[in-house]
Amino acid sequence: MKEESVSLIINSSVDYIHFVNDTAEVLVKSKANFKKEEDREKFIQDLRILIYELFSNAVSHSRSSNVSLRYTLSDTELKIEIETLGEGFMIKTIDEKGNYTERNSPPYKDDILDNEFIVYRDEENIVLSKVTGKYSMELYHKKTGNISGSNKEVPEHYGLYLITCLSDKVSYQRTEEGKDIFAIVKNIKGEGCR
Amino acid sequence: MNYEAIDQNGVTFLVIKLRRATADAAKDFKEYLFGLIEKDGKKKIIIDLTDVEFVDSSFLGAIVSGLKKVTAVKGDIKIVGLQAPVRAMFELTRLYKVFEIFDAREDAVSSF
Repeated sequence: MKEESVSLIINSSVDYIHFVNDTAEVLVKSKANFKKEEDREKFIQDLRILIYELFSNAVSHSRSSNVSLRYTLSDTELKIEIETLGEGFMIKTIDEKGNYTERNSPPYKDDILDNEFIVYRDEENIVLSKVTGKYSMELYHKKTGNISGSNKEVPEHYGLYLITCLSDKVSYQRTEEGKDIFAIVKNIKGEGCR
Repeated sequence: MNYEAIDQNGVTFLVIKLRRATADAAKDFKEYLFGLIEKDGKKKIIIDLTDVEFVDSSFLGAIVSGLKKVTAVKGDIKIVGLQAPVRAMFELTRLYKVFEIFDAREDAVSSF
């Protein structure tokens, strides 16, 4: 299958989530190949959560009236790129008691290049942010296992966890023009963190 | 009103009358829930999500904040009426381990 691509420029308001969601669903339902119907249903269920969290996050941090989205579907994956005029992704590290303790926003300092920061944690999972350049970073989810005696604090912010848990790759880049671009890849055959 | 609190045999049912319980309602809901706990002194609360078809991370965070608030005064929050997409969110975030979740209201009441 050749790559199929759809772009949207839409008002920066969660009132428009249906357009954002339905566009992705139509693309997946009409063009993606799944072995079983239940795999397609599961993919779409995960996609609804993923897109809502991405879009509402973009809207809440955007300084512009529009959000740009591009969906690119291939045989193996769906890529979602979401672009806003924002303030730059601020890394908030989180300690074992759930307190946010350190903050960095782009340009990230040279001394934190290639460093990993914990930006979410619960009893069984962490989400790490790895700084890959002055204006870029990646986010990924890791299962830590249910370790007895570990942190019992129940988190109240699940957005980054859900985004990384339901996708296979999350990267962020800030452009010279001050645009924040998140690129998310979800594998067609991916299991996510379920 | 998006929320209705009904007292029944010493237990407070907090009915969420939203189809989409999301970020735009989360702040308002958190204030309402905190009001029930702090001002009205409610300690046994059952949140009824029967009408809710979709819940996002912000609204879940507000429910967790309420749980922390009520457990500090030795109370508890139980959950009833989860539709499949909402149940999926409780499973993904493993909040089903944090909250007791029931299908029937009577079971939630008798669990206190």
